[in-house]
Amino acid sequence: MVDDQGQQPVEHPIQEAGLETIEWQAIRLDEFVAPSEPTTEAVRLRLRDWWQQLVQRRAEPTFDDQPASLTSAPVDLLDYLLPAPDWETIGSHTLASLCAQHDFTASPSLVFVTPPYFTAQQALLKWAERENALILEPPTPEQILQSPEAWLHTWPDQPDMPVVIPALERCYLRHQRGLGLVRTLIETLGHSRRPSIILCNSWAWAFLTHACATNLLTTRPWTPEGLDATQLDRLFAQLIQESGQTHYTFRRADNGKITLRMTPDDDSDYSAEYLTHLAAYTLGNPIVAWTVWRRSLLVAADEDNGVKAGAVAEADQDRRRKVWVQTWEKVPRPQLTAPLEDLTAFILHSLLLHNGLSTSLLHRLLPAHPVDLSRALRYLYVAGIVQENTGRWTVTAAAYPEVRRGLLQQGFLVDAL
Amino acid sequence: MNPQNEAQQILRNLEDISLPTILVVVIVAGVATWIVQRSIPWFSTKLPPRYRFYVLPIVPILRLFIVGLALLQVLTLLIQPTSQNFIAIAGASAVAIGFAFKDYAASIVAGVVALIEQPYRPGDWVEIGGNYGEVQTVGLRSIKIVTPDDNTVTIPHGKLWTENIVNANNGRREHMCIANFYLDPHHDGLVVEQVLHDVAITSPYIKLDRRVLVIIQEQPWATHYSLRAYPIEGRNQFIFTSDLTVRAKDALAALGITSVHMLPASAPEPIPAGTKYAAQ
Repeated sequence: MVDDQGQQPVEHPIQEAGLETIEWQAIRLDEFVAPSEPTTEAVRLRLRDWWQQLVQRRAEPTFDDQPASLTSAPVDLLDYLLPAPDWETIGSHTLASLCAQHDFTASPSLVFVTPPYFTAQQALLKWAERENALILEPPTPEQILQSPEAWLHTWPDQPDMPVVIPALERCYLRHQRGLGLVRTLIETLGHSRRPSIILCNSWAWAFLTHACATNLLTTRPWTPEGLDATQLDRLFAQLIQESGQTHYTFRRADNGKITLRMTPDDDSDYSAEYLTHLAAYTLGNPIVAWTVWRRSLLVAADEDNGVKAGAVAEADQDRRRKVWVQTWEKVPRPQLTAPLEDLTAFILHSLLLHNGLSTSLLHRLLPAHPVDLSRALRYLYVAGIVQENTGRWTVTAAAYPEVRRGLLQQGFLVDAL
Repeated sequence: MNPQNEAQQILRNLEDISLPTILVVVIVAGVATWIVQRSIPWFSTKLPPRYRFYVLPIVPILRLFIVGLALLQVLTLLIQPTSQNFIAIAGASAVAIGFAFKDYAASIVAGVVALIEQPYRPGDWVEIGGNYGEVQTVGLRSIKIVTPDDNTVTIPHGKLWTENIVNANNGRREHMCIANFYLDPHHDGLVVEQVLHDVAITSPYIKLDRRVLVIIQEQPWATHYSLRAYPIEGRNQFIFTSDLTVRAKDALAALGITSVHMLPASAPEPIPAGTKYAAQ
């Protein structure tokens, strides 16, 4: 079976349920390739879009069962149909597989560069328990800035004890006095050759490689692979099956083709176009892709898709209910002003480099008046670009691709993922 | 043949010259120039900043093209379009320009040379004849630069023949900024070098993939550190240098390293207290 892009979809038997079976393989960082749209396909799609805009503006495509009007899927339906997956379990499975294979004698430090929003605490805890390792909790900002040596002296005096650093990005601050701790840490680990697992956010790794030569720990760190359209198709179908909602079918709003293959019957009318765009847009990050995917879903305006969605669906098992997927170009995305204002760009870059910061730390790191900083944060919050959780600001997953693209265009250092 | 008849042969008959057509050509050329001058800079603001230096230089080239085309069109409407007539007009123009508008013509010729050699482009930071600023527009006769004090300085292209043109970024978006520090010599030079390096790479303005340099020179009155780095956006050069200075002072103060306040031998004598300008 060949899809409408001329690609040969890979079979994916989604019958293998269970988060542990979801594959998100670890690869070397220098082997990471972000999924991209094939050039010919991208050109074809752009030309088609221009042609439709110029000539066929009024000619909306039609197909059988096309609903009269569509509206964004309500949040309760999304939560019922696509509950937030346990990314922690999936990430831990990826890291655990890597730890099991790694030869700590040959290479004492296992560095795992994590894409944004990736977590794998369970795997770290398990490894630390098995190896009787020391888990280093991140230092406080004051320890980083004023007394890095004091923090390092809190380590137990057991040079052979393995070490786990769950978040290297929390061990530095982009401040004139905020890099000494990481340098000392690298030097200590390098000299002792004690086994260690270090997790570091991809943005922090890019910066620290420039600033502190962290690549001396290992020349070839690991990272999760970027998932392409086929892998996203398999992952999403598996996650939906995991939540037990296989009686739904996902169809494109513009031509009615199936976007996600839930059963083998779906192969005949399948189109990978949306997922190909999604994989390229999110650089293969499944967590970001999942967020954008949820924002892309539509339902017929005249259907009852509200709080009774679950009950309706259970009573309607024989008939697969349709959820519509927005045309890629119309998927709602948080909008950034172009080009970014200096302060806006500095805030977003700092949040990504540190995997989130408090307002007081942002004020400490950036050359901005507190009032200007608060105003800029407020603007970004209202625009859905940043979020606050327990006093810590982070970039939202939905806005991440646009933020990364904006920073790259402005000339800021970006991550390798 | 008398000169009056020759002139009549060069020029079209008065009744054949279409003044409305000439007016239309001039207006169209003016409108086209105005559109080019407005639309391309506007378009460049919609692009990622790194493309600005490729798009803006198109403006003077298009303006020259439009003006040249309009002049040619007007000439063909005024004179009999034969090769002899064109040669005669060109010769007469050369004599007139040579006597009356020598400097003006030299600047226009230099402007054409500037378009080809590109010693400056819109967006470049240049120093010409002691004036430093960002090139705003490159016209046919002159360029306009805006100084850090927000003064607009018009400089004829003719300076190209006589002055050195110092271009800080030469078509690139970023250019080197230098922050100088004069420190008491009793300190560990390697520590200060590392501190200044960290000051640069932790500045949010910095272009991280360009090299940071710390150049150290021992002077009779102090140890001179020259911190050289590139901001992402050349327009931020003064803010960037200020940011480097402020944060370096903080980091050096934390280490107990102080600046030297002794004046070098070449500095002017301090104004004695009690004189009119002492408060300055």
